[in-house]
Amino acid sequence: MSKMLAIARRDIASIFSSAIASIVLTIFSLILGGCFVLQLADYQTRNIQIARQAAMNPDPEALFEQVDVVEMVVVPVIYVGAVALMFIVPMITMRLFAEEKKVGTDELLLTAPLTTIQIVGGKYLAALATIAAAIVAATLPIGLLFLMGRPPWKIIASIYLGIFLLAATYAAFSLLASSLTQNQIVAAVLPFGLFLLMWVVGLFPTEEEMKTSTWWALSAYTSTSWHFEDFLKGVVDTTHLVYYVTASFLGCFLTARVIDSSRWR
Amino acid sequence: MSRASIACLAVAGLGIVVGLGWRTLRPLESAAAYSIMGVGGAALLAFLWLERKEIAGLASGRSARYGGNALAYSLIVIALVFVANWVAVQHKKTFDLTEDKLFTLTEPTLKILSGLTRDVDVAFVPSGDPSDATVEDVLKLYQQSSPRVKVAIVDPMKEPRKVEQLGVRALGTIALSSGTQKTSITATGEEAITNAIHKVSTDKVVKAYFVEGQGERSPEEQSEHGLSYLKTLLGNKSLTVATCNLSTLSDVPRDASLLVIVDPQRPLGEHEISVLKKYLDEGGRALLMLDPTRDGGLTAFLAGYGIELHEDLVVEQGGAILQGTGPETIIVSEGYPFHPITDHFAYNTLYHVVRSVLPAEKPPATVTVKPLVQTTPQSYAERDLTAPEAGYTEGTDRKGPVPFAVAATWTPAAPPAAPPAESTNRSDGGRMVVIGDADWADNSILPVPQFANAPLLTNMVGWLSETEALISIPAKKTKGAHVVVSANAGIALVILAVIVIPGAFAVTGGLTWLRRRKL
Repeated sequence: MSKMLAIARRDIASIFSSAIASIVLTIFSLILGGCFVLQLADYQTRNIQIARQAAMNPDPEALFEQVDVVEMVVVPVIYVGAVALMFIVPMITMRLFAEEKKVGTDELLLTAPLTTIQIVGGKYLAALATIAAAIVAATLPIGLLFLMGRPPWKIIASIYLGIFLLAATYAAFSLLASSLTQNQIVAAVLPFGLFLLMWVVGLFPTEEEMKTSTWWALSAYTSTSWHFEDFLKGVVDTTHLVYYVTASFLGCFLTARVIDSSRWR
Repeated sequence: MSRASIACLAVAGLGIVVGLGWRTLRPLESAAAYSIMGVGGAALLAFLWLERKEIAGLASGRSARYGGNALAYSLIVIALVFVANWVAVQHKKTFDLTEDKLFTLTEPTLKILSGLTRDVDVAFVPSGDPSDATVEDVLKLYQQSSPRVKVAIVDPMKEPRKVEQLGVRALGTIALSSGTQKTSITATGEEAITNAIHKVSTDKVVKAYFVEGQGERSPEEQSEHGLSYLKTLLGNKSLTVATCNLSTLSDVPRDASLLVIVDPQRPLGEHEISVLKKYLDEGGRALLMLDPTRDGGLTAFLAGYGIELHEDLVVEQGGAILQGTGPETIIVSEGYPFHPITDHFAYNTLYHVVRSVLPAEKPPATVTVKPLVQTTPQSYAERDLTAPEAGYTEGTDRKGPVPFAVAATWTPAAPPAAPPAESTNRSDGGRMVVIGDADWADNSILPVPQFANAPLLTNMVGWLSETEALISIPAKKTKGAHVVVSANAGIALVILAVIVIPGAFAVTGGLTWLRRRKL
């Protein structure tokens, strides 16, 4: 475990020392920050409208309860964040293996007294930690917003659980792509295409089509968007938990197989 | 690799990808999709044939051995991942973290769904409103909870004929059918959907007869003291409402699931009381609402069923107060002694000018009477209505808590001479609910959304008629999380979101770049 953490620490430092990571994280926080500002403005406008109506309404509390800050601000920001992660995560993880192959330090890594699990685990932890820190930092205004009110902690926990699981799945497959090539551009573009397909495929079929067609049901099941939506409502479904955990595991497992193959090829 | 091999590999890749995409996007043209995939497969075989010597060379080496092992290992793990997900789907568990459990069906609904004996088709025609998503989510819950509920979303643009066949006249309607029964609803809450499912899934008709003839309040009356809203409420819950005049009948109609007597202005005659007594003694069901000073001549009659009706006025001095009213207006928040009618009922109900109704200290041996609703300990029942000054008088008035609604059950003395209709659901003896206020159910108070008079009243009717569908499901209130953001706080948040945080990342990157440049 300590060796895995050592690799993770080294790679986190490597990520943050690269200009691309800083640019990517700046863009990510700018996107989420901009979305937050727009949604907050919308929420404030709605509050003002309600306040004007409340003066003439016998039940003003019922009017204010229609304006839900989670629905109007938190969910849209997190949803945009989930979409942005499709290109943010590959950009962060693209150098983890590809860079090592390109400069030749992968041989040092493979000949060091480290197991494949430690190597892959360490790099995966580095990717996860970086992405998690980016999500937390970029959504910090949401946390501060709730200091001004009474937050529904359970729903917010569900929303963050959803986006962290999504990020974990993206990180695993981005790591796989990085292990397959020494070209960082390919290592970023391939998983982005895959994530886009996995996101979009769940938006096509209707409920009727999913019931009548095994093909559509399977397509929807492999979709990350289909598994993400319930978390935004405050519903934690074990099916979605198993999907994300097994998908992340599969990505890391296949990465380990690719790394192993480097030893005997 | 020769050019032919590269071309075959390209055609194979393209054919398989395009074929898969075609199959996904155009499921009706699967023949074309499979043909394209077939071409891709043939090209792949051609590639393998052209490169057979190379492949054979690869396959015989150490790499091939290790590669084969790795491939087998990977396929096993992929299969295990599929199995794990399949098991997760079969045994899914959901945790609804919303405050009002918006995405979980209530116990009454689950009970009705588990009791379905035939399929129920539910078709929702969306209106294009953002709330459609919530309706679809709720209908999905029904489908997931019962294999007998089949839900379909009918797009009015894509399937106008189907919308016409369903008989739907307005968008946002849910059309339900089961067997020969059909209904449609525009209200889309859980209560409306559950009651509609129950309505179509049974051929039984539950009928309530409102007694008239002595100035009782009428279900047709639309004035503020009328009961037209109550009639509509019961109609929405698959109950048929009719009227009857006991003075012209020798027996209560056989299809009566229950009798309702509301605020008779004059005493019931001897014949009316005997018809009522015969009906109840044979296991009939009745709901009586009797305002102070107007008992319909039923005080002595009710004493025979272990119910004490008092000529008094309940005065509430504790609990919540309705602005602009006096102590004769009572809000009950917690005064619901345990009974199936009030089980899990913890909502505010409103009453106006109430008399006490108590279980008798020594009821008849075959009768059991339990209080349903009572006031706070700070209340009292003013027994001297002529006293010049209001106030509790020790020895005369009754100290709170004062029950003013009771439920009685009894074993019938003898089986009915003419058996009741099958739809009347009288399985286990007579039942009666008596409440010392009629205003709580009239058009001025019953519709008020802040008070749960309607759910409590339908619970009473449901218990009396043994119809679970009438057990109300109070609407799930979406309590939006609300924050108050001052102007300064808003500006600070904006600066943090678009300047400070992105700036921190940019500055960190810039400093790192500068440091590396110096190196």
